[in-house]
Amino acid sequence: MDSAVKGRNDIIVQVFINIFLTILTLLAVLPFVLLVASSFTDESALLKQGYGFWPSKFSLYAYEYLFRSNAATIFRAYGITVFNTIIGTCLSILVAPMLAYPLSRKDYPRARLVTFLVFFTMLFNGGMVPSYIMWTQIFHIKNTLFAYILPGLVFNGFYIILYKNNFSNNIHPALIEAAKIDGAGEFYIYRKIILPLSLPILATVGLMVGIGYWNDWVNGLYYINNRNLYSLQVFLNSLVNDLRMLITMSSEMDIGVLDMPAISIRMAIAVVGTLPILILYPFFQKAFIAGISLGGVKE
Amino acid sequence: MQNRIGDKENKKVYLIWSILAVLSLATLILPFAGYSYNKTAYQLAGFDFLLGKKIMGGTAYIAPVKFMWLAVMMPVAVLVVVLLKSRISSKLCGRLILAFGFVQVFCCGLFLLTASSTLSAVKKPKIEYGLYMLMFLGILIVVSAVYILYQLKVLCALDFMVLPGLLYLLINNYLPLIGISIAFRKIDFVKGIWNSEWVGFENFEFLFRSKDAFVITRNTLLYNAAFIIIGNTMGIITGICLSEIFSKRLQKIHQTLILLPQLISMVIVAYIVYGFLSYESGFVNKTLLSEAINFYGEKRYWPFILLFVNTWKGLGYSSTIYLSSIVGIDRNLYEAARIDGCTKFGAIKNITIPMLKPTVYTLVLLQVGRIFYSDFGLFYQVPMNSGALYTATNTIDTYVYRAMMKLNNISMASAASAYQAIVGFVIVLTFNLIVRKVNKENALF
Repeated sequence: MDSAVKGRNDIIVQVFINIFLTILTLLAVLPFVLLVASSFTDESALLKQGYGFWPSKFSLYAYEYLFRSNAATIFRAYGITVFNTIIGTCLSILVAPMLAYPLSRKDYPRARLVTFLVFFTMLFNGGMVPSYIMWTQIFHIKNTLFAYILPGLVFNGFYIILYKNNFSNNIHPALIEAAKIDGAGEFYIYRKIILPLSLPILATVGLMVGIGYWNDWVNGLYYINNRNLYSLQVFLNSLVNDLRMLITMSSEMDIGVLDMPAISIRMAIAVVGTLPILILYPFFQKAFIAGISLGGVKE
Repeated sequence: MQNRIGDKENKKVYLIWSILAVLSLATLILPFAGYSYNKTAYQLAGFDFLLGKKIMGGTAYIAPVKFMWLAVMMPVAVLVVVLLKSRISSKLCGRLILAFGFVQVFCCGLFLLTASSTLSAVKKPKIEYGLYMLMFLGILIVVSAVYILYQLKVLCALDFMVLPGLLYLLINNYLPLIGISIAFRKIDFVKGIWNSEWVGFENFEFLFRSKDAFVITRNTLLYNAAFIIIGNTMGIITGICLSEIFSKRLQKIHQTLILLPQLISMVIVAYIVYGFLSYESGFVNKTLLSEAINFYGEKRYWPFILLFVNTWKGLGYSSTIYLSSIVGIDRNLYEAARIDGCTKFGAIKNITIPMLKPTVYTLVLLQVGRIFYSDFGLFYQVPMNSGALYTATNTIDTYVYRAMMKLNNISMASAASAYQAIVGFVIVLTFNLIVRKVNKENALF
């Protein structure tokens, strides 16, 4: 084949691929632009032209209003979300790798049994109703911060399999054997050898758990109905359908309801809820992509 | 292997076990709970909870507590094992006693946590020290059994490592399994869950007689089928495009940005969708269409909207997985194909796609296994819980949520949730079995 023709073909293919991917990228990014732009648009301009990708008339009023009348609510919600994310992620990192590590050991006699117990949870669960009744009637976590942290989010079977595969593939049994001969106990080996060697996977899975905590609103929806305990996502959720809550809060604080920028404020709240994760994304995108890439790997 | 324990010490432990068991039984005469009636404080002994008792001058009745019976069976069983110790090996002895002690502690804990519903009929219910004693003795039995088993090298340090994680799975995943029986009961919170009347399949009959059952099953299955097909097709195409792009920088940028929607919660997605579709101010209505459509009131658009949103949110995830398995394909194959005069498209068709098959199987099988479960956020948040859209957007998960939390209809909710759990499980097993029959390599388990 003529190499010039081939080169030209390649270029055409590249152009098409680039156009296609650019369209996808724009589809992924533009909605965020709409979100941010709308939140900075003047209320009257929004009423006339609707949400758009560029603020036709720039205004900070939505944010001003949000932070003037609801600063306490928003900062408390932020605080609760940050607290849940940190505690939940730490708990996960404390417990999950410790469950996964013995499963990777060939000399652990109950590895098969425990693996089955972990795997079975991925296939079958009791459903939402028994879980809800158990957490509320037996453990009484309704309207406590435990409700954000404990149900379902600490770890799941999938994370255990990720950890286990990583331990089996990356840690040579001879290393453990050598440490044992030197008189190290199992917990010492785990703490001083296994964990330091597994920092990448700890970061990757920890990140996924952390994002899960940050974004979770379902636990809040089920278990929290005390406004003072709303996390950021639950607060956002409570505002999805109506702005009634904001209005009641404002009227409690003697701020006029009429001048509330109802349309832009929705988007401003959403921006407030997304911003931290978007700002941090460039820093953790590598671990994030690595974590997702592990998803297709089986056993 | 040498045991770490001598026979003499072993005998001592049997003695300790029998003392602990006898003490456990003796706690039953101690007060387990207290209440006040006519300004006088009364106490309920342990055996009152075994036999049931009329209290407060006969106005209230404490029903026998089933797991108290179970808790009391345990010290008896310990005694039996101790008596039989010459017949069975000490390892088996230790294992049995560990299990019994664990059940004893577990039952006491369960009683402690659910006492409020058991004692709901009385005024100022209070837990007394007898129950704590029984629990504490159970803990001692467990600890001594663990000690013996560790000395006999039945248990090792690794067992202690898996313990916290297993405990979490036990509570979070296994305990609710018992609760599936709620679907077969007529729940009455005054009587408590375990004393509620057993009604068999009545709840299911109600569920399947309503037209909701068909709608939620159809929606869950059809949406998931569409999501699997479109999501994976788009994921493969995008993954291939990402892998074919020359500039690694551009590849990284595209991949990172396409993943953006994956990062945010469905609540935010709902806000964004609202920004486009809102009747009075949405971008689509205000800018693109001359005549506004009330999207949140018209259900015929929603299958497409939800399919689009789901693909939009999931594309980064699936394309990243496919890209990573394309990157794992041996480059020499492409080199050989190129030398043999294979075109770019030929290489994609004859190398990339066949090599992707295992990943496709794994992902699709995982998704098919969850075909009875829907993304609650997608179906609840994105349509903004709009009642007019329910026939197009209601799935099993949203139905369970609304029946339980909004309508307070526990029987319907539990029936739907048990239906989902059981049929979902059957579907996973069936699909896995079929795949195993065809090709063992591709099966999940």
